[in-house]
Amino acid sequence: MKMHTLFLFLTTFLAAGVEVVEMVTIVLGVGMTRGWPATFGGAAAGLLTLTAVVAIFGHALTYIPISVLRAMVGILLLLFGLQWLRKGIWRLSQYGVKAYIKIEDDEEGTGSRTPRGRVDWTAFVLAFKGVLLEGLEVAFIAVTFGAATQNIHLAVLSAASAFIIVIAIAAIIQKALRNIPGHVIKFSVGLLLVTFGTFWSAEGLGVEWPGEDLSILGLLSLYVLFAFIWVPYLRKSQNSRLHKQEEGGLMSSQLG
Amino acid sequence: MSYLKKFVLFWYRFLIGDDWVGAAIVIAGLIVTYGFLKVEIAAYWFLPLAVMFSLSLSLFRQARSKSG
Repeated sequence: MKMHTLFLFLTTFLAAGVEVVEMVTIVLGVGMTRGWPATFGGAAAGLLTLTAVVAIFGHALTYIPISVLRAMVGILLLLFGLQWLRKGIWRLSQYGVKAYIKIEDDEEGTGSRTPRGRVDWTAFVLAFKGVLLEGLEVAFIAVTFGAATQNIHLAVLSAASAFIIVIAIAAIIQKALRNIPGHVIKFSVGLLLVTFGTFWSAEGLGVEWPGEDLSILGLLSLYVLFAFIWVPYLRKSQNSRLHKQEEGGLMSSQLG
Repeated sequence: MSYLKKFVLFWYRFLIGDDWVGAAIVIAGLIVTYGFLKVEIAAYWFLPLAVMFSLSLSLFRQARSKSG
């Protein structure tokens, strides 16, 4: 393999790999917290739409206004993720990280699962949007890198390899994640949704992030730090409330 | 319930949930970010601040209501 061919393969593989990791993170998080049938349904619908768009537009794909799509998906993830993160921080302050609570038992608002036989549209929409947006970005990378080097087949092959490898790794990781308490998973997914939501919505508006995709890690660290400032504060306020209630109960029993 | 009402309710619950103030702060943060971009001021720092402010306010209100 010639040097520039290898370089094209590796560059496309890494660039597409980053986007597929983002896609898989969302699908995995939504699937683990909301259940798999609707998540797979949404992901499959996203993949089908993506295939149709790529088949219809081909090289003209680069004319699709990706920034508008990015802003829309980003705002959606940000607003939805905000609710999960708030509830995640609250739950974490109540239970800590060691208590084992199944996702099914940790029923509160957005985390609740849809009864059997009904489609969970929340999971469907989240997975659909995540797959469509990230899939489009992978397709853009393959088309632009391939067109620039006049080797579209290799670029597509490289992007497809990244897609398959990342999904295989995710399938292995998913089994290991099953032992993590439900409320901790929800908190983590909330963190990821808010991080990606902030990144994409701002980028869609035209913001240039320092360090580009690397700033996703910066945002994630910032939000983790923020959450771990709030968790002990909330725990302390809950403990002092319980203490006051106990004292009140003791006094009334002594008076009685 | 009509399909239209169900559809609107789904998106309201999906995007706003039980805390419309938090969602409004984030939307305002996006508008201000866009404003910064229009006047060519670096805007990447503003939205994360708006998100953290929105979350702080929601958590503070929740803590106060549970202890009240």
